[in-house]
Amino acid sequence: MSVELTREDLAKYPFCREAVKYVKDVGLDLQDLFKPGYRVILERAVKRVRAAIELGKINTDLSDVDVELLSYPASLFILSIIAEPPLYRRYAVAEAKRIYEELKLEDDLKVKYLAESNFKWNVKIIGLGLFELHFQDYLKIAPSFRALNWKLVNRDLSGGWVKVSRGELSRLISEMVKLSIIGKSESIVSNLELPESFRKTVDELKRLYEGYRRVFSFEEEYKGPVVEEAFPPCIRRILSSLLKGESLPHMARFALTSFLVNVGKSVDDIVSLFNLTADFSENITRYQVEHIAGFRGSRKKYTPPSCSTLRTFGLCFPEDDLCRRVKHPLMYYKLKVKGRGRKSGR
Amino acid sequence: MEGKDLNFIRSLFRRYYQSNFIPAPRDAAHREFGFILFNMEGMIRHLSFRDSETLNKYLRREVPLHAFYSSAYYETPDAEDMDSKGWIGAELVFDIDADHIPTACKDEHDSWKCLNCGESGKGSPPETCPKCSSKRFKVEAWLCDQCLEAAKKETIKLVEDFLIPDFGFSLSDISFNFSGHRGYHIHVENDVARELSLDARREITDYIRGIGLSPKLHGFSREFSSFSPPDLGDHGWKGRLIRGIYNFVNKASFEELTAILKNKRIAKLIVQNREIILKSFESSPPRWPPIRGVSIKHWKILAEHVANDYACNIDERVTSDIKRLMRLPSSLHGKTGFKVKSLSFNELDDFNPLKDAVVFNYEPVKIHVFRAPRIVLNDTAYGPFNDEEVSLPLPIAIYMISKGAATLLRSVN
Ligand code: SF4
Ligand SMILES: [Zn+2]
Ligand SMILES: [Zn+2]
Repeated sequence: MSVELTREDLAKYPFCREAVKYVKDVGLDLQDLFKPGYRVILERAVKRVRAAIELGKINTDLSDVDVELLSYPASLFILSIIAEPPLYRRYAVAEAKRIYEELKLEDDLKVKYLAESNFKWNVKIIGLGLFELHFQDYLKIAPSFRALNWKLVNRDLSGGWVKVSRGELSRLISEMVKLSIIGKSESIVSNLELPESFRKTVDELKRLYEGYRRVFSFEEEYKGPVVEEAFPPCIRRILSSLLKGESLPHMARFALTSFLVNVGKSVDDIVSLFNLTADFSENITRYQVEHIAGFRGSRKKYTPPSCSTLRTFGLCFPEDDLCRRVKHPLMYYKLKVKGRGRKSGR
Repeated sequence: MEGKDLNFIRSLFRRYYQSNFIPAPRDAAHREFGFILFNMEGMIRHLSFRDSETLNKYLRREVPLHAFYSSAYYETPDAEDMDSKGWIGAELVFDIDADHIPTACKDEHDSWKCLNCGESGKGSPPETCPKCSSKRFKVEAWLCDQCLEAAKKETIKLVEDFLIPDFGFSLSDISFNFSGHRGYHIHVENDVARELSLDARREITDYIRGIGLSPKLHGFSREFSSFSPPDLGDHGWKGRLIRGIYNFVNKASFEELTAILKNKRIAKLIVQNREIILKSFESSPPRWPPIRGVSIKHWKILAEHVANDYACNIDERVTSDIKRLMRLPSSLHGKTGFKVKSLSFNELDDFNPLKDAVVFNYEPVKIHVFRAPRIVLNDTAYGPFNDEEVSLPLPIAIYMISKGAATLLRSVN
């Protein structure tokens, strides 16, 4: 069954075929963005990027659907000028969140249609808000999610079809969009002459990004021996309740595991730590730890949550000055290890 | 293997390749081939053949000890560098090998020795050496009718419990090969299988092996107490778990239940209420057994316990390697002299590898066996042997010589 997408839909889902065609038909040339007539579009595009940097989240703005739709390729254009792959990532995550929020509320037919027509996925509606997705399509995305409930072994699989809820299908679609935006960062070409006013806008965004970068990128690896005395108070606390055999809430487990992985503990060591808890299952724990360590799924090593996230989950227990200066437990650790080195070096 | 032993085996292999036509795998021109030759270290890789004729010409000329082909299709299969081959797709391959299936008889015929400290033992090697925790072992594994039977059962389980009902593959997409040694290779070939990514294959492997399985997410959790438990007729892991619990409760003794639940009171309750429990699970819709003191938590523990029996023991490395070389069907396995034999699913049932994969006659050959456990060939048992001269049917003689467990005394010819 074919579904007619409205202009509003195109604004909400600017990744879809119809939207791409619409933009093409309008004949928007990105060079035109610098012209005064297109100011609103440029402004909205800048706002999108800014929101991605500052909030990690973009809201849909349907006050002018054309502006909303056209500002999407425009923001990708801005990203290509800033040319920072990690920023693409952050932007992609923010767009994906927005799309997910919108899709969750759509009717089933439309969600199915978007998945089919844009990614050629095989989708069946089997009930209200309930779908079946072919495992071949499901496995294009799901392995990159860490949570156990995305693992194929924990799904209903029958005759090749995986049962998914509307929320889950929306999540898979938005992840697919995210990956395609990130993919664009591989072909950054822009080397254009930019008008002065636009240059300024871009530089501003760049500066904004630089400021936030320190907060959200801990990509560089820490290499060196594991120094347990340098663990931040939050991690020490989680560790000690684990050693007492207490079972940990999900966030605490994740924080601890990802922290240990990032300071260089081996998967075996970490698994054996969890051995002490009552609900220990070697099979599941190993899987989770391997996933966080980047041996599985997205092949990306997970970074522990930031101090502010840990605070939200009631896991932050600052003890010293260093805690006041850092925004991330790994930063605490790195500084502490460095400090120790300096002291003992004397 | 060297000298007269090598010449003996090679002449037999030559005779085989010269009097048999080995059909090339489907779409041969896009596959990589690899061979291990007699008397030569390492593998010759990155070869490609246009068709069956050129392949057979090669086999007759070189008479390889082992022959392999890629489960993957490439644009340029003979490119030396893996990255420039241009990967197009790959069959979905499963390897079921006695090495990965626990069988009691292994304690009789297999053994291991730690390469680090020399510690040794019977059966399959442990994960780490009990003495020095090294992970490197020298393993001695033998052909065994019971192990092969276990591998066959596992193969049937893979198809009947997983590939067909859960993944929706059909028998016409699946082909079977006896590996020529201790197991079976299962190849799935269709549009879906061909394009699966590495991650997807890994997920499929985990699914089949039950890795990461969480009974909680299949309804064995307090959050689901107001819902029905899974139905005995459910598909996928849900159904397997509940059927597993059902079968287990049906048979388990008080002692077995206590060992698993670590709780005598609950074990006793389950034994006393066995009938009610089975009835509750059988009813439509099924109900959680209404037994005071026994909760979903306990059913979850049983689910975790039975999961292992319902998983299938495939070798995860083979399935998740999309550039792997597999044994060429109809070639000979250089460690045994048995044929890598293609089978249909129907043939599998009655297939006896230690008879049906034999390509040589049963003429007796005089050999000196250094040491070998009992082996069954064509329903007749031979051995065990210990440093003795014996006259054995040619296929066993080939096997033992190829394995380096025996040396030729007199040739048949
Ligand atoms: S401030 Fe950060 S490092 Fe310190 S305890 Fe809180 S979360 Fe941990
Ligand atoms: Zn040892
Ligand atoms: Zn055996």
